[in-house]
Amino acid sequence: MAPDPIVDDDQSLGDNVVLWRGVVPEQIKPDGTVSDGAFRTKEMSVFIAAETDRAAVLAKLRPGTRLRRFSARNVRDAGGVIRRAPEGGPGHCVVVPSANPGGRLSPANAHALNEASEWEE
Amino acid sequence: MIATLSASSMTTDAAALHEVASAEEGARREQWNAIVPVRTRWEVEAIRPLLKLTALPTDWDGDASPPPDPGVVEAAIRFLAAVAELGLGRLPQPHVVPLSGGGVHFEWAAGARQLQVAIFPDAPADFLRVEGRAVVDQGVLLLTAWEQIRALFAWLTPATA
Repeated sequence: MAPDPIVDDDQSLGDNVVLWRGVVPEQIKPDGTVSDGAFRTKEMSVFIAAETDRAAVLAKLRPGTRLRRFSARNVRDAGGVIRRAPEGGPGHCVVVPSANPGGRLSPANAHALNEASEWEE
Repeated sequence: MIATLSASSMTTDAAALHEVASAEEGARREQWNAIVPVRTRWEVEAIRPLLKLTALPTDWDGDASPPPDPGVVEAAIRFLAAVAELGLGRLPQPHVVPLSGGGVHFEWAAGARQLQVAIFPDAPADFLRVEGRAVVDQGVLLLTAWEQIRALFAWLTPATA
């Protein structure tokens, strides 16, 4: 039986929790903005900023990868739920669509999340 | 296995095609074996970054993703060829992005309008239209639905429709 998408959201993560998402160079457009494609991933990996640090996250990713930051509220507003996934390291979570936990964020929801995000410098 | 682009129907693009093939064939040698007929420089410039993505290493995203799936790349090239044949005049070049899991994502921008098309190995393609900061619509895109495709690109570049 599929998990209840609402119950499955980790409500222990408050709306103001800051999340990081790695963006590889190929997903950055010539004008320096990020493609919505960076957010169209099944079980999209994110990290809870307060439970790790930039260097530790970037060390897991390819050289040139940068971090976008957004809040748990931004994820929920974009139709996503957040699940802890500790096998990915400290603070690691995955974001899945509440309406389709086995799929990807819709184009519009990925766009909304991208628009809400900013660079973690 | 050598990547080759062929421009049998547009000889003026021969130099550009040779440049593409020469620079990228080594990286793709084990991943891509196809002759890609193109008719326009627009296609060359759109396909070039797509083929570059096939050289991405496995785990390029830190989530064990492969480079774009060969079936996705073929579908994308056919799609770009179909768009080129729409006869809509000068279209902007797309920004091409890899998707985790083996897909590819195209973004075209013209003024305040943006059209996105994503092609996946395990799900139907889809599209998104954005104008300014507002989402216009989204939906599934059948890559052979010519009238729908024409309508999307005519919306993107109304002056040339």
